[in-house]
Amino acid sequence: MADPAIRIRNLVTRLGDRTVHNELNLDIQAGCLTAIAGSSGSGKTVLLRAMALLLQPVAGTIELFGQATTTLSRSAERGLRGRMGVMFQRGALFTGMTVLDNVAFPLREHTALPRSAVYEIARLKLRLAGLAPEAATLYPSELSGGMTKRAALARSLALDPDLLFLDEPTAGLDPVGATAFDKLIVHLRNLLGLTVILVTHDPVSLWEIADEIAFIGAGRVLASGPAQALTQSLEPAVRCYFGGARMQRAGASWDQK
Amino acid sequence: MNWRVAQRRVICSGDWSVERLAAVERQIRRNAPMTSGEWRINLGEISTLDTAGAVMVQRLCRRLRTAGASVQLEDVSAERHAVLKLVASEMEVTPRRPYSNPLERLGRRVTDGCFGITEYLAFIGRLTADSLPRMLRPHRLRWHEIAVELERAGVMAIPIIGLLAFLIGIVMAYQSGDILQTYGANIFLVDLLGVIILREMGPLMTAVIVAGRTGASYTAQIGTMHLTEEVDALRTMGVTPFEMLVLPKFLALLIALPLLTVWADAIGLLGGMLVSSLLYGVDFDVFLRRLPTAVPPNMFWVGIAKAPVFAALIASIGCYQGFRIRYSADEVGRYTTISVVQGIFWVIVADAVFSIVLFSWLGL
Repeated sequence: MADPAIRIRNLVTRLGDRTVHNELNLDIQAGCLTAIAGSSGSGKTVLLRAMALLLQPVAGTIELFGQATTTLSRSAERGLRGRMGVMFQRGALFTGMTVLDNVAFPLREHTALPRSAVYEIARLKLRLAGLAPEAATLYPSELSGGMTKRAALARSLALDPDLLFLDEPTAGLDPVGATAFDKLIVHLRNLLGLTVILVTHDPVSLWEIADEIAFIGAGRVLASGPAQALTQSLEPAVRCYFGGARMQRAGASWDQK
Repeated sequence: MNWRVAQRRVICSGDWSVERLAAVERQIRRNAPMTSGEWRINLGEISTLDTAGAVMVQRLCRRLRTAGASVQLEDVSAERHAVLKLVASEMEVTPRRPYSNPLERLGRRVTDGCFGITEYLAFIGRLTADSLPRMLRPHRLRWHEIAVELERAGVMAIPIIGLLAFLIGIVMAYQSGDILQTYGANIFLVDLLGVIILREMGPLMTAVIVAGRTGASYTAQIGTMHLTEEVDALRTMGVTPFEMLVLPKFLALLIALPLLTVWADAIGLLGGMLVSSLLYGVDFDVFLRRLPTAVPPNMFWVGIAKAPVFAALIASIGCYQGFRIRYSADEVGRYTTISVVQGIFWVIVADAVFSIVLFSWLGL
């Protein structure tokens, strides 16, 4: 098997005094859609932040595309950041800019393209994320929840990243919107060859779109594999999570397909 | 890129990913010939092509087409074809925000300015309506919040206000002492410092510092609470933000500012006294013995009486500007600035009004 896009070894992270991850190991293959699951407070978002270079681990290594992230030079770090897109849970759109400017911002920062080309690329990203062209001139405060998610996705795609981190992409969307968003993620992954890491609680997302699920608990990866394999896991926490009524229903509807 | 104008061919090569595109774009802009005919664009030698690169291919095609040429892409693999199709599927034009002309903006500013005053008055009115019932039943006031605000706005300001008052006392004694010395009138330093510090500099400078420190923090805090919907959460619980957020701040500052003024007065005089005794031979005991006769007590009381007025101005402006923050982080910065500038502005205006009213009409 080829080298993994992300390789995490013996990761230890702390928030204040609380140890979130203790000796966590995880490999994520390139082109794979990996979901990080786990009960609330198990450190899914913290893991995402560590992988996205937003949080310095206390110990252990994270390698992105074979580069250890703990010993990066500034220019290497900037290059690496250009290869990843992060979509935050609440969008984190810049409130002082229009949606189009939000998407154009990383392009302006990382490339020397003229305005017209930047805006053309930005508009393409908005369309890819499924936003109507009218939304481009709106400010984030004028967007609905679903539109905010799409705009945030468009911005995370701005630099054609190889790695896409999504934090709870379908949380807060209506079921139809959530399904559409799931499809959109798979579609973009197939089209652009992305490696996608998503943190999610959504049972449907876990069953339908994730190639791999890494289940986090007690500071490490308790189990990993496709949803079906995890239901058979011997770990009580994993069985409990996948044995819940909502998860069962999502699994049942997946079985029918 | 290799332009073979004679054969109407372009051979694109290299890395067409977003980081490298600027060079490609420049080449297209400089070299694309404005000739019609049947052009063929070869993409076979491109090593990487992402969506931004595909946009650039489209731009190249469009450029050739506007020159009247027809364009054919060749050597396109299946996956690249999908990406190119995605890019080409729509070329909509984004609607622009309605353009506002300068005259309209001017008009808007004027009306905003005028209505700004009525809005401020409405704010004061609502604050009063919400506060009065509470004020009449003091046990229902939020004493805990008031104490917290009192600590932040009052206790924590003590060092900075003390230091600045001390320095101002020193500077004033030093500047005026020189002139008085030439007339041998060193002793009048006591009169001069007493009047200026107790009546004007103490209250005014304290108010200015508090406007910059506390007024700004009121605006930023309330504004950020708006952005994170905390204010709305309070409303849903039947707690009006006025009595929860504004009233404790208002009352706390009303208490803190006069006390800080007393502190500034004392430390300012101390600074003045120090210079007087060290440089101009007016010793501490001489200074202190002369002070009560040189400066009538009402000078002190006039200074202290101004402080609550300044406090009311600073607190109400700070909170009002905070409530104007609605949507964006930008606004937090903008309205915090406005809050400080207006706070200081109105404090100085009020001070001028005080001088005129008290001095010329009441003869104080």
